[in-house]
Amino acid sequence: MPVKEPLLEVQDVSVVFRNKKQAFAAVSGLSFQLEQGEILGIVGESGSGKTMASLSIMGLLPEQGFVDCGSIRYRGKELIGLSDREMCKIRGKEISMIFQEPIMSLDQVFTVGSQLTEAILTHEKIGRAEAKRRSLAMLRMVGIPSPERVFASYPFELSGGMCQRVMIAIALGCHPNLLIADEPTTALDVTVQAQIMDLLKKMRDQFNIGIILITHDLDVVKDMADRIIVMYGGNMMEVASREQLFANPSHPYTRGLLRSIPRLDTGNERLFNIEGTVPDIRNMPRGCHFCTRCWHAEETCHEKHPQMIEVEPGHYVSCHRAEVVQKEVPIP
Amino acid sequence: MSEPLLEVKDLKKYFPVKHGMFSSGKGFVHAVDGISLTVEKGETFGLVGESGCGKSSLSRVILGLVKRDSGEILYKGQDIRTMDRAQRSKLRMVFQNPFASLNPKEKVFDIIAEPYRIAGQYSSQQIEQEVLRLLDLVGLSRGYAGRYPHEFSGGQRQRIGIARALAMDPEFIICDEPVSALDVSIQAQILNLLRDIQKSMGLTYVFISHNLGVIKYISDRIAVMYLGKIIEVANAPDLYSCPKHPYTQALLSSIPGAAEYLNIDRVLIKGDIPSPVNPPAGCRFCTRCLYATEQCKQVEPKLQKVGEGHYAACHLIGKEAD
Repeated sequence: MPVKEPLLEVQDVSVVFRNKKQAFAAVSGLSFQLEQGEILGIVGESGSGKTMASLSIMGLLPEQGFVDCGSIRYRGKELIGLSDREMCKIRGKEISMIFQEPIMSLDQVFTVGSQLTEAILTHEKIGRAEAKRRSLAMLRMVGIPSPERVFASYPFELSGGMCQRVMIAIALGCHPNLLIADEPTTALDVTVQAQIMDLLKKMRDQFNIGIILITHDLDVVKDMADRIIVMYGGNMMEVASREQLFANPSHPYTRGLLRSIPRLDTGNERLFNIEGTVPDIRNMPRGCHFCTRCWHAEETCHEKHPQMIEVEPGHYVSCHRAEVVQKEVPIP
Repeated sequence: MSEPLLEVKDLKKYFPVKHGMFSSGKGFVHAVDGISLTVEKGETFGLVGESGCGKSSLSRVILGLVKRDSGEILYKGQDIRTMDRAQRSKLRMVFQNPFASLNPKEKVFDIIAEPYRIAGQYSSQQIEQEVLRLLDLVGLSRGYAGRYPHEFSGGQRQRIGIARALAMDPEFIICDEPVSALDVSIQAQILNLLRDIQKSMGLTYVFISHNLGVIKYISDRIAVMYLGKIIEVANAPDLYSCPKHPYTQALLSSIPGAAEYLNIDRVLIKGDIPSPVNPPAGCRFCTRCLYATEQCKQVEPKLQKVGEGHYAACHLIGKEAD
């Protein structure tokens, strides 16, 4: 019996940016697997490399950036090194993406309908009428109350939440197997965010797609993701299932983040401070990237880059001092 | 009860909407529509609401950055319009976007020194002393005084913005989304800084945010705004433990993971916030409210007392035990 292939397998990927003067890694040592129907959350602050990681999967890295080493396999097929033409067949058809600014990522001078049908017609040999029928069905599916009207509207006539629904409809138009959502609700209000997140979950259940959800909001992944990667300074700091991560956060950065968010269920005792700021990506410390802000850091942390270690089955941490960290005061 | 520091009575601000060059406006954005509130000395008054609900307009009208259409704003019992410059300098603001609110051509020193220079009664030594004191206070190194804003990260810039607001010993500061442009770890630093300063200088804050966690953390009392109206005011713990207005309930339940903490059912409200140009008649929330009745669509509810210091504007309160 053949071993079941994961939907997406990313192995030791580094994304390097190069200009005339220097080269630096925006992402390094990124490895994960995603199964069909799974939601993987990638959490990190700005500059953590989470967006570059997703763009490298889509083959949409900016001009100066390239995947330096590693492999990205979609259903066993290597994506790195594919020509633009081959990549175009996968992009939108097999793997789709939605972006942070829904209003910006739609073209303002074409109607929603023409953008929706364009996506479908690019990948499938069907007639316009059939494409329109499917587009309307998609719009209805993502919960747009009057699909005919929205189909004929321009993006600027719609609200942010509506535009994000349209984006999701476009992304799912060709029934992809993998959806990458890069901060899909950051620009939206909480009530609308809740609607969009519910929609994404519903789409996952209905089509059994794999979703990579990129966000800076730990509460969002806590609600949504099956597994979570915490990134900082281009590195993976911690990988765990949702239950493991919140029950037993084992990297100082994860713990610091969890304690620095004002929570609803606690009083207003002073928030935990992670001192300092994220170092410049061109000038990362030699050892652990978090060592300059870490309250557990010792000499090894400044000298040597930590390896991923397994602290419990399926729970990996990249920290020299994970054992000490786990004994720290528990998170409430 | 002591006299409130700030008292706002039935404040209104409508912005005309213009369509093209020759038409004379086709309606008004009801940004602030009959708002009354009081802020006590030393407290943090939180304003929360979705985008477009008028919370930023309200703050600008209160400080006189935008002219009001009608209503009263009294600071220590005195109308804000009749205050002189020295008195006005006690009321300050920290802005949302630390990248846009600092002049990129000015050095940090000049940005913080400007209020003193305008006041005109300080010698250059005094100004220097004050600027360095403020830099210490907000946790920036004194060496930064000679640098320009672009050399700093978002969190550091927000510290500069706070130092500027603290110049001339203010009493009252409006913080308009001061942490929403910042990363989580930096957000905690700034929130802690704001609280420390409040304690040491005895400041009063009006704190605006769309982030319900942040608002709960920093505020003593909270007002929830929807389309230019305050729909609920309560002490922070009460608002989160027993929200009365359906909108507040929906807002709280839409926070990821909220149901777990707050012991409330998840209420997903449909649709988006309506345009403030043509707000619905009656209760502003009636178009999205799950419980709206005929009365809600016609008669505008007034804020009524529902508990100690707890007010909500909804017809259904008291009628139904839902």
